[in-house]
Amino acid sequence: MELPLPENLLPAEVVFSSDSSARAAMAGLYYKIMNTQSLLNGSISIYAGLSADELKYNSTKADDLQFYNNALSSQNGAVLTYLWKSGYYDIHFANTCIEKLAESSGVSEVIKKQYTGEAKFIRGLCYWYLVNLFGDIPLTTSSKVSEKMFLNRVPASWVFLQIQDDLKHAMSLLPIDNPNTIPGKYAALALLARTACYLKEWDKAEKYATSVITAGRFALTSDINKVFSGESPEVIFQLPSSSTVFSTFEGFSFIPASGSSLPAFSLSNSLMNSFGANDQRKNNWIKSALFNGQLYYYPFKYKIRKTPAQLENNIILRLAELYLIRAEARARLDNIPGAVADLNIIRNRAGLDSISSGIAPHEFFQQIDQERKLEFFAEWGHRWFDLKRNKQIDDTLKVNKGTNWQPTDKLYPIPHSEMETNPKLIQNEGYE
Amino acid sequence: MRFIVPAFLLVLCLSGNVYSQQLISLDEKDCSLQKIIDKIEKQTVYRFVCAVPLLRKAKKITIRVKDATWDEVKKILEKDQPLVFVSSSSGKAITLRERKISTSDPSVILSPFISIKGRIVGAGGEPIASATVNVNRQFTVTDDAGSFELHSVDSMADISISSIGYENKKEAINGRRTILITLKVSRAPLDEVIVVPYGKTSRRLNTGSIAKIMGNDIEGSSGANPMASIAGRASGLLITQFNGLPGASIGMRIRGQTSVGALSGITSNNPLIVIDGVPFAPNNNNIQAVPSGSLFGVRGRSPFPIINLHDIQSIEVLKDADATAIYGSRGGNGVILITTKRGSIGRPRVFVDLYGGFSSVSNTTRMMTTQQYVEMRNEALKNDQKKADSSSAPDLVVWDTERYTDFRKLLIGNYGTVRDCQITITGGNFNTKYSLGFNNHYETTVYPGNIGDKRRSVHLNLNNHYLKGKVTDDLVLSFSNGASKLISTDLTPGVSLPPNAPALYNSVHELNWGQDSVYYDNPMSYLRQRYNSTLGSILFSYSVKFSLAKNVNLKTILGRNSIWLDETSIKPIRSLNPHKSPKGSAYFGKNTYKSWIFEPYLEYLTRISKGKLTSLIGGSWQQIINNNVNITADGYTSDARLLDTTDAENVKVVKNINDYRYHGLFTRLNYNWKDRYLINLSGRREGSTRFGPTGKYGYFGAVGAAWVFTEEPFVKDKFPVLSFGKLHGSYGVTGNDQIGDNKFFDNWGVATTSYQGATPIFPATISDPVYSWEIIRKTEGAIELGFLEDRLWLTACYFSNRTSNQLISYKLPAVTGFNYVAVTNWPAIVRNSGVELSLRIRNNSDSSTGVHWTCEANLTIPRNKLLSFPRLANSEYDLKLFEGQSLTVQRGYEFEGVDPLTGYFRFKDRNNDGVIDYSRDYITLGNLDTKAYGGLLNVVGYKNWQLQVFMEARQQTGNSFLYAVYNDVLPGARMKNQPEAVLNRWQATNDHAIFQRYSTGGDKKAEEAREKVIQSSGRIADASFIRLKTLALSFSLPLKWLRRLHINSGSVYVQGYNLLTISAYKDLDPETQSLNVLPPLRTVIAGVKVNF
Repeated sequence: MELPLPENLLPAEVVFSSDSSARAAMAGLYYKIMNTQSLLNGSISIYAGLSADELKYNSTKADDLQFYNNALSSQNGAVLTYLWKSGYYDIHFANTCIEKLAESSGVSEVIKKQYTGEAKFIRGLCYWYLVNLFGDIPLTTSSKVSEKMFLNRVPASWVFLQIQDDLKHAMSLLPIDNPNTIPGKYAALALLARTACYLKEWDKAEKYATSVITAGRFALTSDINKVFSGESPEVIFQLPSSSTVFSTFEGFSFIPASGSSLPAFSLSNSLMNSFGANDQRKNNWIKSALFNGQLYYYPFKYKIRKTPAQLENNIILRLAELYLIRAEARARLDNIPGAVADLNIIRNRAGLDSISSGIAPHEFFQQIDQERKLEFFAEWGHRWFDLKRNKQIDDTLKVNKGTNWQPTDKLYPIPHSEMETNPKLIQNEGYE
Repeated sequence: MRFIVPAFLLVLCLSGNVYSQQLISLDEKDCSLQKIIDKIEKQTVYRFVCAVPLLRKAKKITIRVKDATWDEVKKILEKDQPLVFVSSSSGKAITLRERKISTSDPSVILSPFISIKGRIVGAGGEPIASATVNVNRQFTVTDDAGSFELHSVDSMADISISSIGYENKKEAINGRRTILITLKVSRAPLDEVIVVPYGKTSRRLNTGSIAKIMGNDIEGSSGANPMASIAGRASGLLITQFNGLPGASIGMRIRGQTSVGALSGITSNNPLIVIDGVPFAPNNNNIQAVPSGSLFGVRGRSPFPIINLHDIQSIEVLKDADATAIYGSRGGNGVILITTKRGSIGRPRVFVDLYGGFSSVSNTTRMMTTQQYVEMRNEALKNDQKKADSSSAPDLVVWDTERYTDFRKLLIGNYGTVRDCQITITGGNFNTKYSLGFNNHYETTVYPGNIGDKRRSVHLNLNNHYLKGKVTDDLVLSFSNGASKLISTDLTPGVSLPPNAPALYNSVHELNWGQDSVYYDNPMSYLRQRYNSTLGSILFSYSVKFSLAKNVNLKTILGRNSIWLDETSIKPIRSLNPHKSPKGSAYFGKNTYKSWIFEPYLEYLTRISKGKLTSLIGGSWQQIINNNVNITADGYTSDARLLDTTDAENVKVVKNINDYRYHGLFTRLNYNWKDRYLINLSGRREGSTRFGPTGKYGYFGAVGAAWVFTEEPFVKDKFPVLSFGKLHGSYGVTGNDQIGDNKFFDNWGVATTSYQGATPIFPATISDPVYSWEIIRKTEGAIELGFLEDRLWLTACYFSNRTSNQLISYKLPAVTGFNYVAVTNWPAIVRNSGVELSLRIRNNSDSSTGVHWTCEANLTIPRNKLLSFPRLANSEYDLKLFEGQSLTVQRGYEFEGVDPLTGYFRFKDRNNDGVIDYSRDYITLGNLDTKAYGGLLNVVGYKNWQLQVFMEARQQTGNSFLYAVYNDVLPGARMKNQPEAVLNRWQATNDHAIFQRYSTGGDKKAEEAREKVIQSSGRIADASFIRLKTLALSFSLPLKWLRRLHINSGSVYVQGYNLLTISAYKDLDPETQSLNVLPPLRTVIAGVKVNF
């Protein structure tokens, strides 16, 4: 007894019955990411930035203050809505696409390959941030409720295996010539390079980074003010906004509503003090606002607060990171000259002098950390994740964040409501 | 020797004495006749039929013969004996008979085994089908022509006939070969026909729990909704009117709310409604499609008013597992079987019933006068330390504070009219019977203006016999078409307009919108916001029966039910305040149901031992397609073409299509051992598209048993007062499938803007397609007792239904991507248990005084309890439901009345922390279950007069008057009049008042107290009531008057509905419990019935 599918409903079976509706689904995946604040739209830059030593919080939202004070509660609404729930929604979306594309008989093989690759990339990207924020997390590749009702947290290393697996598949499925507004082969490679770097698989990191750098599709722009523009040649993957309110969520959040308003987020003194006087990034990527006689510096990488036209997009991966990954990897592989060359490319673009290739390795690593801090400030939580992976977080934040800092603050709490609906979850240390 | 000769052996024998050549040799001395017969049987093919007492009468015999014929032996054996031997026509069967001295017809003796043919008819000559015919334990059943045939029966035996609904009859065959037997319709409650799924039974033989309501009892009725009129008529069935408008949806529950999901509208617990074997497609669902508000209230429009009450013969309410399990997943909430009227044999007769009457609101709340209103407003301003000026109190400063309009009278105080005309023609002969009814019903509202509903309907029944009754069919065709010209807003809330509001119309008879730029909602404007609709329905039911063989019937029901509703609701500019530069809007709704059902089944009757086994096996195929379209068009700048959406600025179309299909196989085995022990097994295997691929197939079944203990000799003899006694019980599994269609599909949403060159779509809901129906396990035990020849009839039963596998939407871990899954089964268990009592007293045999009296009473005491709900705290029902409590449990603050010092409501600070906080100060307030309900019907007749009094009673807790007042605004707030009862308010220190100090709403403390009081023990109150639902007086016109007019019978009558309500619940109607909906209507009609 089978019914024809109801006309007024649009179940997944119908969505993945033709190329055109599958295309609408993929558009939907990016649309949902970009329609409002989400895990992949603004949240990481803001919250990880607040947790680390780069952003100061000047406004009064209790949830945001908890990030800044490293005093997260498991009831924090932002953790639940903009990180956890948002990430797992995108994962569900991607899982559905992957599953249904595989089952579909109506979608052509070429399209199946392309879209499966895209979905796997997005899934990998979501897991990448979730695992780095929360540590061990529930891992699911299924779209079925029954298969993900009561999941255990799995070790972070398993999640990384899944991420690498997804990205490798994406790499082999995706063409090299995708426009940078959808994931392509090099987006997968770039994220693989970053993952290898985090996992200290230096030869892989070097290899992946090299293939992106030498792809010939991306180039650093010499105009530092164009790095975050929509046409920036160094963009590997970016998503245009689907909102009518903002063009990038970072731009919308960081740039104050008017010249006279208080920036909700300002850059910390420790960050401001790290910039050299000639650093073009300080001059071009940071702006100041005077409020009540006090000067506030705020991130000005994206220049547009609202959305006049889609001149700026949410840049998810850009080439500069690959140079710094490769620099780090080469140094770890004892190729200091190669490492210095890569580092200098970034330094020179920022208007800084080259450093000498005779630099001692331990000094070089400090240089790399410093360069990453300055290049990626208020961008995708790089600072927070770098501090964590380099195990400098406790020492650094004890100094910069004061006595509030607890070693258990490295991981965000599993949302309370999630613990309630899934009794199998165990809370991160420090949040019980 | 056999005492019973198998009939078929005899049938095989041809006529003519072919066995006469059998030879017998005997050599016996002083031998018993029995022994001799045994010997003859051993030697020959002859078979003897002898009654033992007769054998004992035979003298001892001495015989010696060799190779003798039977005739020779017979002579010797009959000699000097009081006996004779009689051979059958074939000669093989030989019956021993008493020798009769004088017999007028010698053939009777000569041919004792005869074939008889006969017909069983009712008093009107109508054939009685399926009657059981019994001659010396040889049984048969009449066909639809009432005919039967029996072969080789003893011509001197008695024939006894029994048929459901008729008195048993026994008479001697006395040698007749054709027999016509007339049965009287049984007046005994025992033999009353009870319609059951796929058949019928009697009260005597029924093993389940079924209440029956006769159509005659509810004819006329209070309003157009036939289902509302059965409220209180049957135990176990609770019908609630939410709104006084006859077309509004009603609540129906058989034995309580079984589903947790029904609290939030995920599931429903409506009984299955079946009309003449065809499921009524919309069931008890809201059929309104138009998206704007509705005067029918939030629960919408009921589908039942398209059914004409006059067409209803009877309504059976099926309650327990035994009666409902055969409906499987559709039967869990009980079943209501409606049987429409059938034709009867006789010359064409015409019945005419005409009535007309008036209705008005039964119970209206008295509102404050202008003086009281102004006083309230001034006091509120004073309390809030505000000055009356044109912004804070335009009603006091700008408007005339002397003016008075009684809005209650103006808006809902009018008389509605009702007119109804029914003409039925019925008649027929043995082969064809017909009934054709026409009805015209017209009803207006209590609102001003001439707005209302009309309905025309035709009901046809044709019943035919073909091939000498081997094939019979029964056709029912009902057509109904109604048109409503109503308004889209219930005017009842307008009762609370300030009584000093400016004139409704200005000097040039245009709507007045206020005075000096202080505008108000002119209620008369709503009369321009029309809601017009047409509602039609076709019900087609065709059943045909083939008698395939003796005792084997093939029956088939083929049914179709279509319903279409077309609605238009407009909000023209001329109905809107011109000062607010309004734009017009229009709403369109179309709701259609198309359903069909095909149910063939085989029926087989057989005897096993001393019992009768009726077996049934069949299949169901059903489909319901519901098509629902609603259109919202707004932004009209002119009223000229509101019905043309091209003139609208925005048009929004929402379509819904639900396709429901259902297959099933069902069976029933009913074994009746001497009307004393009965066992009934029923079961169904089915598949339903309501459920996903893995959950759609299942089994349901029940066992019912009854013991008629008054059939036992030890009871019969010892308790002569007890004329009937039966214990019965049942257990079974049924289901509830009322979850709506297509919920097992995940659904994707569509973005409103395009993105990356496509229209993005994304997962909007997630589903868990493994869900299946709710499982209801029903247990019941009952006793039925008849005293004094069944004049006093008492039924008592206890039931306990446990519903598990609850369908709820469940909170999900966000890891799934969603917060809630649309539907999932949850192992929560709800129990509905209770006691049902019914009593019937009949005294209609006293012809000497001319007085007759009937009394029927029923009482139900139900109990609802959530037995368990695993992980309740994580569900959306957290803090709303509690294990061990009813599903309607209410929690809130403990209300302490008005603080005499401050004048604000006070609540108990249970933990004495100085803060009234819901998480710490809530207590369980009770629940809103109906604790007991019932009805009492008394019919008293004297000569030509008959008086019928029907009362409904209910013990319940409901929303209090305090809740009705404070759920809206604070008394004293701007532009809102209050009930007069609100005058009892706090004014000064040490006042003991019911209502707290007046406030304009500017007092934060008063507002906080308002918010708390509607979630406190003050929000509930005892809303028990006794309602005089029907008071009917009729006078049968004397025959001598009528004969001159060639009228067979006639009567005139007056009837009143909802004439009186006795309740401690003051100021509001205890059933609708709201200031803002129309209370039930009080109706008085007068009519005449004649029969030509």
